[in-house]
Amino acid sequence: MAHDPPEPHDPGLPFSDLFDFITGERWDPSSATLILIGSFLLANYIMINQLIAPWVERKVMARQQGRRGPMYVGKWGVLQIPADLLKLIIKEDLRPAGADRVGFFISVMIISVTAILSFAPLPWGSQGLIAGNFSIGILYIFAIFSVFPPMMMVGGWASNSKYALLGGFRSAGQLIAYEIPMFISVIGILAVVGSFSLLEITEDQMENGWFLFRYWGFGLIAGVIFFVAGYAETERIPFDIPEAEAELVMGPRTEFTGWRYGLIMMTEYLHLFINSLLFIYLFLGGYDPIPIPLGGVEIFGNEIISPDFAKGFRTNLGVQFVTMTAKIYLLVFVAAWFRSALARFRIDQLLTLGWKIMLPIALISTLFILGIDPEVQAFSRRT
Amino acid sequence: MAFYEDPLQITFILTAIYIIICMFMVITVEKVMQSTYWLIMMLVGVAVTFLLANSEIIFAFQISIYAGGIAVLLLFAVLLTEHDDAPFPNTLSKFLRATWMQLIIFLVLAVNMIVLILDTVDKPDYLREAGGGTPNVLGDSRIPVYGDENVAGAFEITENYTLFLWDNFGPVIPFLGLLLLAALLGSVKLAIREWDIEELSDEMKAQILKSEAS
Repeated sequence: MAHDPPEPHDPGLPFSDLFDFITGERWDPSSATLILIGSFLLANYIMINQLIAPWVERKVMARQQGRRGPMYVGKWGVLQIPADLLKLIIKEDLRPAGADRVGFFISVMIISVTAILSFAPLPWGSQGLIAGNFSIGILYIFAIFSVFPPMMMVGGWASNSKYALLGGFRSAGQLIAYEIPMFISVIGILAVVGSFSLLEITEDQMENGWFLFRYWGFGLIAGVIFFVAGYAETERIPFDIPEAEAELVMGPRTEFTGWRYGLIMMTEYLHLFINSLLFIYLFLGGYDPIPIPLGGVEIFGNEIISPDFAKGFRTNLGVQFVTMTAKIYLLVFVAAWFRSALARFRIDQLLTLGWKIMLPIALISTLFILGIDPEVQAFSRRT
Repeated sequence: MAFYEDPLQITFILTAIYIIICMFMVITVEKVMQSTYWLIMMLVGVAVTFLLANSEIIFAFQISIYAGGIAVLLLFAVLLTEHDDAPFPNTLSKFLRATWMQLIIFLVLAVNMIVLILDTVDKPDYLREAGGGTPNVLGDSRIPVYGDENVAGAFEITENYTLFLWDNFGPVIPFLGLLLLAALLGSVKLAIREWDIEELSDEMKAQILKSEAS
């Protein structure tokens, strides 16, 4: 007697397919258990990586500047960042005289918690490797991210320091100036896919190729604008105007010490991760290892790679996970490269770049993407 | 099912308590800047109630527009303008003297609203829509927040939520508008300040004296 095919899992429930895949049997725990396990695994993966990324960055920068970078703590200095973190945690907790107690506390907490929350709808593979498959996906990330600028201002004000307050103003101005071109540059893609879910955006790219290489170069323009704007959002060199050392010491972060500073630094790297990940999902095909829709490879009639093998390779969970990690570290490398190679913008140059150059180009590229895409054209003809 | 057996209801009640605490802090803290950040916290709490009611789109817009955009606007306005700290009258008698009219309007509207809400939640239509049993303030809790594959579904849920609110609490909404107007008038009255002519610059002093003379 033929067995009935098993009922498919609820597609929104994270990790159920993954556990089936690992154990080879069907496993049906409650949805709450699955969400807890999934969130725990992904949060730990991200936390461990955000300890490795600064080390990679420091090593890359050191090589580019003819130095050796961290060397003494652990093999090749790998444990330098965890050691720094431990030092920060056990340091005395200082609060400046006259600081606003509540504002000083909640600004740091909200900034760091929102950074961690942003990772929830990011898929790490096609087989349910996701903490929460929200239908609003990318909109959720942008929404969570928009709490960041007011909290930087609150943190700056609550520190009771002129450097911090001015840094807070600069930070909020910069973040708003770059959030808008960042969002406009992806509107075209969201309209083409017809979904906010990063899972569906990635699946579309697996079928039709990465967005960076589509639409006669306009995908590339939108991608570059998104990447630069996202990079400016992380407030790193050359966009580190809010904390410009020579002018504002450390900007809104000046008065934060000990564990608060540790959390702020963690948030900085988490922001680098989020922006890199968004760029990967929207333009670099997410967990897809091959940039073009490849069925199989034939040379002079001889099949070199069979379509089945190509499909299996692309949908293999291990390959997808390694692809994601490799792409993140590629972008961390690029970030380190920028940091050691570029000089800081002036504040007026930064705002001019955001409002007068990137915003119009983002609008134009979005309009062209919408104009070129056959599905959008068909839709407009129907209506 | 009683409300204390439903985790969603318990979460909603905790969120509501959080929102009320934040609102209380907004009007009672000493500095305007402190009021502003308590207001941001309150707006985030309101966003959470939208999420509990399966309206993810409204949640996203509430956070990005109110807790993000409007909050930055408020913060810039507060930090870049001159203002007295302690806008809240420090004694009860002062407070009552400054706001007696607004308080009366508020009380009338609040009583009206409570009566309307109590009236609505007793209706059989409402009970049926809310899934029978206890009145469910969160709408249909059978629609999961997770696992909604298509985005159209999210919009549908939002539409349903709006219709649900409008159908059941339609009469309350104009009163809420009036309440907001009363709050606005009250805050204008609290914020207004009689200028002492000695504080002004010479130019402005001359201008005022000229206008008074004419």
